Amino acid sequence: MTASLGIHIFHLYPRHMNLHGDAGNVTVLASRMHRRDFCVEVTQVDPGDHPDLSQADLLFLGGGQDQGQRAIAAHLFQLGEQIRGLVAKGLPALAVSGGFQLFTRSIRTMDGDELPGISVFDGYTVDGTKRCVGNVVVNAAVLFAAYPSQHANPAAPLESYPHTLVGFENHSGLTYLQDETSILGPVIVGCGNKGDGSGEGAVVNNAIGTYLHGPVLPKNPHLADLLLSAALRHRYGSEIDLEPLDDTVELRAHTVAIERAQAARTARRLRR
Amino acid sequence: MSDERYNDRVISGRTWAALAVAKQAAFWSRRLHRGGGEALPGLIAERLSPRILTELTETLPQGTVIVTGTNGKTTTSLAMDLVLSAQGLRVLRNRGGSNLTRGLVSALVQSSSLVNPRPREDIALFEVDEATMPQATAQVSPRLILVTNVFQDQLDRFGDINTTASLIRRGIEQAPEAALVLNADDPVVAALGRDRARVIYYGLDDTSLHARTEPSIDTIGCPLCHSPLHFERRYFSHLGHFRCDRCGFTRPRPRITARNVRLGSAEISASVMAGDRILPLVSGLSGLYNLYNLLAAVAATEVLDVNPKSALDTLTTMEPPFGRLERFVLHGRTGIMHLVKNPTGFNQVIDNVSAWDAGPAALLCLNDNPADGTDVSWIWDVDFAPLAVSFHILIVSGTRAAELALRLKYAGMPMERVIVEPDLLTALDSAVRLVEESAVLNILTTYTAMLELRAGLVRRGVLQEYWR
Repeated sequence: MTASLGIHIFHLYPRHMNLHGDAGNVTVLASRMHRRDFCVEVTQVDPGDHPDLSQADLLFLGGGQDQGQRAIAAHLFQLGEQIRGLVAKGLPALAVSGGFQLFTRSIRTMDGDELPGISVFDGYTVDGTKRCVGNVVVNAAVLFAAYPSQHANPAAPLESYPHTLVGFENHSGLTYLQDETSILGPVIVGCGNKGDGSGEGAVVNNAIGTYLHGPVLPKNPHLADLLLSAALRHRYGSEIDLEPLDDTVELRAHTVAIERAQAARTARRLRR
Repeated sequence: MSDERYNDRVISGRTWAALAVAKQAAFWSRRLHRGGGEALPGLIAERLSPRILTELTETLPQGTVIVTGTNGKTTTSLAMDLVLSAQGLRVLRNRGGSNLTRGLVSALVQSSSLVNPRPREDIALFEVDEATMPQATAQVSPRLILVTNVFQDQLDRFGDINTTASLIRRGIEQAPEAALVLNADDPVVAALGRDRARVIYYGLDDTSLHARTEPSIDTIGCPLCHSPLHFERRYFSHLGHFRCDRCGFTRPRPRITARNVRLGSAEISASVMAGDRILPLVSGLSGLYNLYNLLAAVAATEVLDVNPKSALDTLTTMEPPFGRLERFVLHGRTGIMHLVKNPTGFNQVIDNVSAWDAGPAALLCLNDNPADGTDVSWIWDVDFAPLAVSFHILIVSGTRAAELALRLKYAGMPMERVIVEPDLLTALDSAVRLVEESAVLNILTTYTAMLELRAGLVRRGVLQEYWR
């Protein structure tokens, strides 16, 4: 019935920005659409390309090493204005870790260089003194409450999904957001944007930035569906329900990740 | 050996005292069964006498050799140990994965007596953790440094490949006298040999080999100018015959190389070219990665004056080291434990077991303790698809069994063919029952899961305790 419907994902710089299995996020997005009989097209964007971003229904940018960030920053900067405009019109995007940093205004690196970001999120990134490394649990209740239509289908009520997000962070850069930019949620376990255990990630319209990798979407299927709903809305201008999927395996991995994060935190406290 | 020459090396009173205390600690640690007693004596001795590593290694008549790199340190060291021992040398090694400086000190403490604090052995063969290289060569002046490869590994510790490479480079730069033995096929490692006087390379020269699994994520740029590398041939991950079209950096010509490679379930054969000689290599190990380890050992021992023919003869009978391909018999079935630590190693093992040991079941164990790497995202860079084809049931276990199940789901494995059992020994028992009698059960496991499985098997009398 929905065979003719589909979305077009633009995967930005998959060769330069794919740390910690981040490409797995695109696999998850595509798989969750295919299992619901939607079509998915994925366009990979490399430096030097001239992508027609007006065709995009979802942008993905993964994490990368300093070297990768440097290699793509200038090209991304040229696309920045268009991306900001599209995000303002509701284009969903997911930017992870080093990609998240490039979605802020600027990055000051370890060597003191400054890389320009594309200012999707109003904030900036500086190099911190220590690395934030470990499992993270985020309370994203506010985020999911803001998208009530996400699981409109009564067979998969929102309540059956957790309001937490889980993943792993590994960053020395610290991201400071302006007040108007909302965070993904308060950190339950972990360091978060500023390394102080306060807030994690950023949200502007349907664009999400986060330090969570793992990759982030397999264990957080509700976040994947939030992005996919927004992608369909962006494409067709109306709500299109996502049929429920069997997420037993996903949610078990989610639960175990929370348990492991809490166990590690307890162990750290005992050591002190 | 010429011990007299080294008698003028003075062991300080401080080091002697540190040895005395550390020996007590080692004794009680064993007595109280606090593990293998590997790290503690070294930690104590280092604290009491910061120069102990320098003082004790300087007394070794044949000096010190350092083996570092992401994969193959233990197997390569074992191979070198066998070759050198066959030449009549007494070899001191650090054991049990204790490859931080305290592990090196522990080995030295164990080998020296208070009456004669000089170690008994002729030569030290130290496996050194990549991140420990700067500390290691600050204290030890090795005569040879061997670097096996640099892959992504336990990213929560190091950062990334470039970070790892720069730590190794710092370690090497502090040892300007050392001969280098480097893997020519790994661009990151090969680049370490530039501007060095004494460098020996080893690598593969086989045209028939190609990787069955997808190359892992370790695709890297030119280590010198960061532009994309062109691979004329790629054996696995980023190992192969490479060339940078921009700056001209290219694979160095190896002195030791292998051709006509044949791989079997527990068998490697090849023709080794050593200079202008062609020598047969026959081994009971398996996998291309182990061929690299054997070539590394041949290249390094040649620098230590062992001719490659003798080295290859000795290596014919080599058994795999602790936890790598260890075999045991449980309920009439043979279990084989494969240690997996990072995407490249995991892909190689999957490649092997899927090709040779297809069958009803395999056991995969994933722990996320610090020694395994607390970040399990690396399993998303592993290609599990061959397992889904070769095995009917996959049992997943360990602290992150659920994550592994999810990964298998995305690798196309139907979930009704996956059993999730976080408890390792329960999982092992279920897995063993699924394979036919006299058949083989392959166990792919991370480090701490391997230790736990092993401990359980020791309790049941199936395996021997490891530490002596």
